[in-house]
Formats: sequence, C-alpha cells, structure tokens
Amino acid sequence: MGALFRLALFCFRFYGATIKALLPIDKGLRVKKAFYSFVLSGLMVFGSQNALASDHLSEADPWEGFNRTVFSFNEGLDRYVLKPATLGYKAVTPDLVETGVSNFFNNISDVGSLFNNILQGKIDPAVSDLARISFNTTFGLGGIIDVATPMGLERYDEDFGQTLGYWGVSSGPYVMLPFFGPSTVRDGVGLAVDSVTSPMNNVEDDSARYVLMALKAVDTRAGLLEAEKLITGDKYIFVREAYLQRREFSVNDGVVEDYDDDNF
Amino acid sequence: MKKSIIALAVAGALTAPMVAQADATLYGSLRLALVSNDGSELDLNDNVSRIGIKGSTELFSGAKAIFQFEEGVNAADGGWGAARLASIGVTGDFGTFNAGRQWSPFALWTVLPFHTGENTASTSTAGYITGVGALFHRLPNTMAYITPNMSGFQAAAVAIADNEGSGEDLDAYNLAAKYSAGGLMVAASLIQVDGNAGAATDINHVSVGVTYKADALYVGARYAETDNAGTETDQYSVVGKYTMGNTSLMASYSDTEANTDVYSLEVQQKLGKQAKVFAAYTDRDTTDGVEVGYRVDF
Repeated sequence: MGALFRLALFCFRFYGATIKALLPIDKGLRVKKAFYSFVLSGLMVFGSQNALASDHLSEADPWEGFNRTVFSFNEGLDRYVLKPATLGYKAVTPDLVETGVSNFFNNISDVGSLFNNILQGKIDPAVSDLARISFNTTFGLGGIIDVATPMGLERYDEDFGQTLGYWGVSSGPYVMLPFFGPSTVRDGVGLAVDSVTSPMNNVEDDSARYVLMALKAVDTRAGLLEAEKLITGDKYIFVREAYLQRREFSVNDGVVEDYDDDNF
Repeated sequence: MKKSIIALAVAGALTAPMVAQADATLYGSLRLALVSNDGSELDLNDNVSRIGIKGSTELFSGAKAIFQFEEGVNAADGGWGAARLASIGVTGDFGTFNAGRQWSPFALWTVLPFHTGENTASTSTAGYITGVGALFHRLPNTMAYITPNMSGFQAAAVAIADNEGSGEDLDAYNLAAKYSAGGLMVAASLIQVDGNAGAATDINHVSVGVTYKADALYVGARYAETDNAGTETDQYSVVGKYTMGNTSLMASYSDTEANTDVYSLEVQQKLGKQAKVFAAYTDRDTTDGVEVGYRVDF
C-alpha cells in the first residue's frame, strides 16, 4: 500500500510539474502554487502515514523470513494433502452432512467459548454459550443440529488467545505455525491452552481422536474454500493481514477503535 | 390468553343459557419432559400438565364472584390426571373469600416462589408437606380469607373442615403473611393439623422464605421445619435465576435433614410468548441425570 501511494505521489508531482510548465505565468499562479503545495503536503502526510503503517506491519512480523519458509511448507501440505482431501470430502458428502459436521465441531468449540467468556467476565455471552451447548447437545442430537441459532442464541466463538488479548496481553510477533497456520505468539499460547482443554483432546480412544482431528481439519478447510478465492497479490501478506485484522476484530468483539465512517 | 369458550357457550345455550353469561377463560399448560437418569431407561413423561377454566362475574354490590376449575392432564399418556383446583369465591376491596379446593398460602408464598425451574428435581414435591391425607399445597375442603394488598403487606388464613372424625370442626389451618417492597419479598407460614384428622398425628409446620429480584437476577432462600408428633425435621433450599432476553439460567439446591440433597442446573429458552424449552442437569443422592422438556401454554 505504501508503495502504491508513493507511486501516486510521484505521478502527482510529475503532473504538478507538467501543469506548472504548461501554465502561463499569471497572477493566479501564486494561488495555484499554494493550492498544489497544500494538496501535495497533504498527500505526503498521508503517504508517510502509510509508510508508518507498513513499518508497523513489518514490526508485527519480524520473523518474516522464517514465517515464509513455514508458509511455503504449509502451502505444499495444503496443495498435496489437505485441499485434495477437502475437495474429495465435499464431493462425496451431501451438504446436509457437511453442515452437521460443522455444527458438531462448532458445538465443541462453544465449550471453549463458554470457559473463555467466563474468564473474560462476560456473563451474558457465557449464559448464551451454556444455553447453546445445552440445547444443541440435547435437542440438537449431540451437536449435529444447530437448534440454538434459530432460537436466537448467537455464537461468540471466544478462545484463550482472545482472553489473553482482553486481559491486555499484546499479540506479540506474527508467527506462521506448521500445520496450524497463521498465529501470533499470544494466540499460539492460546491455541495450546485451547487444545489441551478442548473436549476433543479428552477423547480417550486414540484412533477416534485422530479421526476427529482429521475431520475437523477438513471441515475447517472446507469453510475456507470460498474465502480463498478472494486472495490477490502476495498470498503470504494477504493471509497475514487478514489474520491480524480478524484477530484484532475478535479480541475487541467487533469494536474497532480506528474505525471511522469518514474514511469511506 | 383469554378465550371465550365457544363450544361450552353453545352447549350451554342448548341446555342452560345462564352458563354462557359468565366470561370464562379456558387455559392450560401442556408440558412434556424427556428424562434420562443414570441407571434408568429413557422416559418421556408428563411434566405436570393442566387444563382449567376460570373467570369472574360481577355482583350487584360491585364485588366480583370468582370461579376456577383446574384438572391435571397427562400429556404423555393422554387422559385426565389428579384434581387440582375447584373453587368459588368473592373478591373486592375487603379482600378475597374463597372456598373449595385451592392453593394454600403456604404453597403460594413459601414454596412456589422457589420453584423457578421446570426440571423435576427443582419442582416435584420439593417443599411440600403432607397433612390431612394430602399434600398441603392444593387443599381440599377449605375456606380461605386473603386480605387485600396493603402497601405490600398481605395475610391469609385457611381452615379445613373435613368430616374426618377428629371430633373437631376444624381439622387443620394455615396462617400466612407476606410483605413485598421493591424487589424484596419475605413470607412466613404456619400450618397446624389436628392429630385425629387424616394425618393421624399432630403436625406443626413453620416455613419462611425470602426472594430478591434485581434486574436480570432472581435469588431466593427458604427454610421449613416440621414437627410431626414430636419428631422434628427441617429443610432448606436456595434458588437462583439469571434472565437474559429469552434465555434463563437457573440453579437450585435443597437439603433435608434426612440428607437427601438435590440440586439442578437448568437453561430455559422462550421460543415464543407461550412456548419454551429447557435442558437440565439434575443430581439427587441416588442418581443423576439429564432432562429436556417442552412446554406450551394457552
């Protein structure tokens, strides 16, 4: 983005110079000059802000070299294993079954959400999570049917990384985890805590647990198939920006401080 | 919801036109619960369903005559259940006189406020006592007087006159009072049963309860002590309920001297104005289980 603005700035300077060259010198020139320099300085401030923002982002990703290596490993894994498996899964299972599988895993992650809402002292969301789990597990036949959403109980999807963020822990450097994908130091710690406390981790039968984990991976990947089509440019940067923004959004429960309607 | 019973009115018009003149409301609540207790098979039960008719008609004096008839129904098996209510009375500035089979003030003020859940562990007969051959909550053969609400204060007296051969005109009575202000409610009740009546022994029962409601939170605690022919037993329960829009979270705990403590945790969800579902975890001394239920009122 910064580069783009620098380019725009260059064009504008060139344009300004051209105009200056073409314009006949008249008494209005002084005014026009003032106008152009005003616009230019404004653009320069804007551009430098953007330069700062991109500095900030590289600050968030000091381990970019390492991360890119892991990213290309993940990409390879995805290209040759996960994506084909997911496409195969989508091809053979009816949509109804896919929804059931998603609901099942969502119900399990609602348990984590419940604990994290409690840890964050958010009472109403915690009550809602508890109600969701209760109704989906019973009326929803073990979580396969999401009866709670039509009842008006929304999903919160809190995790321990968000709890740490809520407690004021900053995200730390961006890190690309092998197998698990984009994360930060904070969210990586959160992920570890979440997976230890998850009901899935407490399935005693090893093979059943591995099947569940594989199915969950495929289910998650299936959910990303549509989003993937939006990726443009450098995929690494796209994923990083998308991830960091989404996490900030989640930690603040959708209240983004910098957001301003006037920017649009 | 108030509904004139057209069918009854039509039937009444054919035989006795007077019946149709009082504005009667047909009401009911059908409740089912699916219970899965540890060590038992799955069971779809009726969960205290009832159907009733009630209403009032103006008297020449300006007071109102009131009537109510309510019968238990079994929504799981079909068919009528036990008798619940059958009473007629008069109500006005002076308070209410009511006679027949009716709720005791003991139950109304010191038991029902603590039945916030729908699951069987939180309701069933928790807090009820037996006397005169029946549970002391909906009493047959009674005459009652309830004072009007005097800036939050209300008192009631009920006497049972059943020819039990006790040699006494009054076999049992219940005195109760309650005071409510702001979100606070305190109530106390005294029951005395004559030993020669249906209960066969002298029973003295005292119960007190307090509830507090602040916004979304409702909490209550009650204590009861029964002296049954010299043997004293006591019981206490605490309940809490947190309501958030159409969702409620409820917890109840009760303990008796016989060490049968029962607790339950329940979530309720209103699906509409008159329909709700619940899912609950219950734990009794002997077993624990999961209950889900559905209820429709009309």
